[in-house]
Amino acid sequence: MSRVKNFKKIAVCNRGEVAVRIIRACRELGIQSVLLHSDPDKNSRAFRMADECVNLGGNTSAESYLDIQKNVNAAIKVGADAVHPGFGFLSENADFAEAVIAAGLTFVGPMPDSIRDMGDKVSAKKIMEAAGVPCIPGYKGSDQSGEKLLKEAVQIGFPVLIKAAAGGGGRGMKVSRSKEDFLENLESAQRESLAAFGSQIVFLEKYLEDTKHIEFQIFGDSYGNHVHLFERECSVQRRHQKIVEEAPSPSLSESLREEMASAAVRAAKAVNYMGAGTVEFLLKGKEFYFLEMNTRLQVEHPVTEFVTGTDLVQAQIMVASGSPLPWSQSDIKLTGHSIECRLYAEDPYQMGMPSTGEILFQEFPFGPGRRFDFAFDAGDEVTSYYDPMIGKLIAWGENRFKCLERMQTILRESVIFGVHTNIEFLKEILAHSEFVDGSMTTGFIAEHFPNALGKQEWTAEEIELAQELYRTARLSKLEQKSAEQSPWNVLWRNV
Amino acid sequence: MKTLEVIKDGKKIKVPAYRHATSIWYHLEGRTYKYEMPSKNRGGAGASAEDSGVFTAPMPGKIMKVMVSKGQEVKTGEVLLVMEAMKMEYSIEAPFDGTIANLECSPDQQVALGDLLVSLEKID
Repeated sequence: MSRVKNFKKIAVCNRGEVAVRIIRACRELGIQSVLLHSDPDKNSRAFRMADECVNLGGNTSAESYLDIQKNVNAAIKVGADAVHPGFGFLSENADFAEAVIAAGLTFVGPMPDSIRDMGDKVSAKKIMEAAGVPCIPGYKGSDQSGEKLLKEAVQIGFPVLIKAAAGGGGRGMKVSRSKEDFLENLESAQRESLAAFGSQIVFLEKYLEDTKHIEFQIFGDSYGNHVHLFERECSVQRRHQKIVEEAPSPSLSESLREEMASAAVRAAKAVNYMGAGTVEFLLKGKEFYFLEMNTRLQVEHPVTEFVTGTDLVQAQIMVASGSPLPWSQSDIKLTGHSIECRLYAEDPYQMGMPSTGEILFQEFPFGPGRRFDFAFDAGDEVTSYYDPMIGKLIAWGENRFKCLERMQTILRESVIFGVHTNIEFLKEILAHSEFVDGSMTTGFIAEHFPNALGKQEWTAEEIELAQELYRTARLSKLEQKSAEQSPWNVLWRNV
Repeated sequence: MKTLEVIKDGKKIKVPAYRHATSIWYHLEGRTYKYEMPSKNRGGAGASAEDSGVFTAPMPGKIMKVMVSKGQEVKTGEVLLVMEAMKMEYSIEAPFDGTIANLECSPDQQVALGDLLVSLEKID
């Protein structure tokens, strides 16, 4: 008897552009999709595209996308065979994966144990060290006395990073630069950790500056096969939030790529990983260190799909249904270069302040080597309830230079009215000499764009043009009758 | 959505533009702009120039012509003064019938953004 299940219906437990991505993959595989959504997301592309929708209610994520019971109950009620968690929200929640499996449904993702092992930073590091994957030198012992920790810090060598074992998102994390400031930083990290995570256990790591963020896409199936789909470089980050990603990395030699890829596959095998996952490394010069493993699909998966010609979401669903991996390692070839720009609804001239409102108009320059993954259509509203990422612009080119040129063209020709976006910021990032030559590190944004783009300066000419456009655009509307008349008349005469 | 045409350096440029409430969104030469029209409620005494009759320079420039003098009575729509900025001329018209209460500029004078130019008092 075949071990392969035939999925008829998949519940999509997510929102935005990734929900659209999953619905499309389902459609191509002949599987019905059911979107489990919140109240505001009735105004979204995923809502219109899904074969069925279930409103979980509420505006907040806690009432909808993060509520395990509501999601499981809805998935059972609609008769779904499987649940796709997308990324973020419940995608790396082992309890959710367990609840889905306990309800007799398939979780499109790894086994709950893999999620748990990799979710705890200390246990993840131990597993990786045992598998021969290079880790950042550090201390993760049970003796948590200040005296012992200081001794270990001196042994590691300053600067040292003090991290909460249960931590995440930068909380409970402090950098100590010398013996003198160590105890002060340790106490601060312990206090933060206790307040945020209810535990003051910390571990120490050598603090690496000027590193690059390189991650490998890995994939496993239920037959013990594991492959990698090359790397992505995601060094352009702001407060640990990625902005621009690309594949392949401009910084790896062939031999280093092979070495890192083989470490990534060892990491996948060490936890008997199933489905799509990402092994993240920090790269300093030619030395690389395991950072963490993400047990889910990544936001930036399209760049890998572009350079390898694969469909990772379909592969996730196939593997979850019990099919073997659709490719062997030798099938996976790297062709050309791909760059992704994340579009955030925010104002780069106001320090990246989130921008909300109705999308009045949007237009993207479709063409060869271009892909636009979007959450909304014109008329939809961007609310403040969720992450400000509204979509992704992805380009492919025969080489990095051509890809970069194409992306700049895309950025110039993409039009969104109604909410501010970071498009101007992305143009500046891509035009920066450090990005162009590929030498950027994770400190790139903080060093070169500490205030995003600063304040927007309007020239007198720009103001006059804007006001003239306003008046001209208004003339076509009936509402001109009720509008006030400006005392300024523009003669448009060259003087 | 409306495509407007703008002439820049002698060349016609097509500009997709969308007016929304008191702002205009437009895409010009590869860049999206949002311009918020100056609010009626902003500025001196919480009133706009059309209501208050107090006009300040909307941008730095030069006064070209002054058609009125202090104490003069003017009719709605009458041109009070003309200023030049960025190779363009702007004229101020009386928003209502009134008397020139203050005149703070003269021909050929350079003015800075926000400088008081002229104020008009309503005739009751």
